[in-house]
Amino acid sequence: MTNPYQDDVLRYPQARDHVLRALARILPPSCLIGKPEAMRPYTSDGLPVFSAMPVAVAIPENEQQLSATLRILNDQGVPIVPRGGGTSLSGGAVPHPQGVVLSLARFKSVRWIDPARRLCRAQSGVRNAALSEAAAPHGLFYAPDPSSQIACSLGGNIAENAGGIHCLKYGLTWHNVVSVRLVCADGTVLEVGEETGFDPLPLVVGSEGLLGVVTEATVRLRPIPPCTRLLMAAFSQISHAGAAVAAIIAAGIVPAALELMDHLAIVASEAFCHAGYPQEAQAILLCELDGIEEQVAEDESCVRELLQQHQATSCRAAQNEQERTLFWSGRKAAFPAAGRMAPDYYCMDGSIPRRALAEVLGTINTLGEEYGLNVMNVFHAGDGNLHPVILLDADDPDQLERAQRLGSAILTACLDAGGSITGEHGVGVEKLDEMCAQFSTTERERLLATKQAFDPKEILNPGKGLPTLRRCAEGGALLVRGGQLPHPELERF
Amino acid sequence: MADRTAVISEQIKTACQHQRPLRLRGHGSRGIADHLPGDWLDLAEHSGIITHHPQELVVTVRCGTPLVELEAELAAHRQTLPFAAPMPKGRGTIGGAVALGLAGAARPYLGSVRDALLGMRLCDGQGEVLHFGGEVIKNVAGFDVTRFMCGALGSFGVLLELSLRLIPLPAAQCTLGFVMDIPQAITACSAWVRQGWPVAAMLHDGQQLVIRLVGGSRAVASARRQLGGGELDGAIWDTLRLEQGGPFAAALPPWRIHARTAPGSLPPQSWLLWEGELLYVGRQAEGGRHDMDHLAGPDGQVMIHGALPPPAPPRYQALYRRLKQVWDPQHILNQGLWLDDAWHQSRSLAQVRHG
Repeated sequence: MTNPYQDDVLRYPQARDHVLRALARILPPSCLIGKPEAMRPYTSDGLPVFSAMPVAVAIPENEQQLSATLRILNDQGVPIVPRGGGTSLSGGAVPHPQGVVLSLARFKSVRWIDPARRLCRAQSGVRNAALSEAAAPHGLFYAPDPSSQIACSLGGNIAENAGGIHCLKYGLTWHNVVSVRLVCADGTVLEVGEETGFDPLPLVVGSEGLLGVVTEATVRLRPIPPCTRLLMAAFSQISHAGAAVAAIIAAGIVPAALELMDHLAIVASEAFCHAGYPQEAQAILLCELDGIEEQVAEDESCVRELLQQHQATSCRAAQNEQERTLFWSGRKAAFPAAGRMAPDYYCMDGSIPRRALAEVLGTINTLGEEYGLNVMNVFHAGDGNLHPVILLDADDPDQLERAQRLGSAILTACLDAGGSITGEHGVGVEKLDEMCAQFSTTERERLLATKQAFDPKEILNPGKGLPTLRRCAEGGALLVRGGQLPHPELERF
Repeated sequence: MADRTAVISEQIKTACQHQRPLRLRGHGSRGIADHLPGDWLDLAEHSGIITHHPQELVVTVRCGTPLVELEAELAAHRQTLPFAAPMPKGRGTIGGAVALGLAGAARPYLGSVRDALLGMRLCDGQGEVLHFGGEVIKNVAGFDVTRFMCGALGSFGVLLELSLRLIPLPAAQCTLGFVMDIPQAITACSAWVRQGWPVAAMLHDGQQLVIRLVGGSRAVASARRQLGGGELDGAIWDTLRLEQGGPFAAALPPWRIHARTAPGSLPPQSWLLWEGELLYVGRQAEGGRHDMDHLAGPDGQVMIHGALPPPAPPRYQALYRRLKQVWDPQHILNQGLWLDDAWHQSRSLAQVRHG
């Protein structure tokens, strides 16, 4: 097990038995796990290279128990790691070795759906996909669709401000959350979310479990579009595809999704699931348009013209729902397919302005050659969110070391292009060092103080999201990255 | 058209040294800070577009830039801000619009002010210039300080520069009117949206429902045929943005009500927006607060539009004070705002009385 925590966040010396006894007083036996063998499934998340054995796992049945758990652990100064579906790709749900994992697995109720106002109230342990399933009979859906949507929870999505393929048109989790019920570190409950005025909601969404535990949320539902069309365009050069993306956005078209795959990704996923992708292409774009039929038709003719102008070698529309699913299946299979190209892969999550797409893709290619590693690109091109996938054999220490340096170089290239070190996966324990590069000391001081305003004893998910000032002052420690495919049963976007 | 970052930062640092509060002002178009103590910190001169990448649909702009000027520049590229912030009588700065965080009639369909906000450079209550967010669409590094600042009326920092996501001006648009009562109007509007029709704004003036359709020319034409109603010239949307007609034409500034459930009917000279979640009610005379509370329903918010806003709800008070301690520990910026202490209460009550 690789322990992701540095000494300065391992400063909570409560005796294990003492913590367990205190929890046993407020939680029934069915809500508390203290035996290491039973806690094994909770030791890591979607970034399994990091893991730790917690002191206990609490699985409260209701908000009263959850609030009491927080109050007692806060009084005793014991770290709490909230956990939804456990699919974080940045180690957000990795336990703290001196702390308690707080699972929201039993907060599974969809409270109500108001079809006329297009709102839904649900508990935070409800799976992302279950929201859309519950909304479907009303002709509505919940738009954020992270790759792990069959397993990840609403609370986890709020903690990470999760995105997905369709956030180009429908927004991130932020754009779809109206209000949340937040249990604070001391156990008090706060309903958060105002249209104007002082409103802490923006701090809570995307706070990676550092500010409170969300037990319920009101979210927006969107109408299922009457018409959807998926276009697949092939290119002989990836720079042409990058330029086509910029042109589509510049033309004022907002596709529901606009995804790019490079040659390596095309070949890998075609071998894996035979989606009918052109094997000789250096890049393909998948462009999904939705809306009423007339709008989709207008957008389609405009997009086809732009694709042609940018030297697409072919452009096909999925002829029916079956073919549309097939086209998407190749995209969704790209990550598992990477697992067949190399023993391990490391998925990055940089965000850049769209005008820099062609240039940064070129830089990544050059960097890959420089470090002697293959990099596959399959990503949300429409909103400039790159997912370069470094292929490696993590058992080879030299390759692992090169992959780490290559990963850092890629994120540096994203920052240099005016972007961010993370578009949608979060900082977690994975990108603490890169946070030192993106923010100044004073900016990081303000962020840390903001956390303390919510959580004065710093018991909520300590050691995640924000680097300590000391860590940045020391130049950051190199993290061990790499990895086998986490949750192989999940689709990867 | 100048970068006054250094001057603003210096002014705040000096105010800290002398422990003298500052009140922030853009165009002063609403006069909200008139009722706060301290010296003026004028921001209108800190203006100008820093970058506009039309291809990217992103603009970065200094806070003092007039909304009218910004929108003209964007329109030249056939783009616009999605949230159609009100600009009373054509005045108002982009910094003021973001600090207030109030969107126009398109809010339920095109998003709120903070939805469009991507990043910001700000000067906090100690005069430190800080940068959060950026110009990219997706960015989850650090807490979302940028959106947190939106709506807080400068009480945590001066919003120096703002990066905003833009939308293209639609190829076609049309405004339709339907004579129906409020419950019918809300039901109809909601149904059209759920059917996928490109509704981009709604307003009910007590007599009729007015909607705006936007999109491609064939899409708008098709929607127009399907939905019926009578075609209007669309002047109502400008009137609303400029705050010149209807409830804004009354003797006193109107009530603004954020309601959780739509009322069944409206007092005269009122406008209902956002499918019933936002109401402007004309005020001819003082008083009438009780009726407004009734109209707002439980959990609704009642305030006088443009006046000093009421304190943050009691459940937020302790958290507000702790966050103020982080971002403006000496309470230099817009002192007293959002607080419910006796000083502030007496001020805001006086404000309600004198409107």
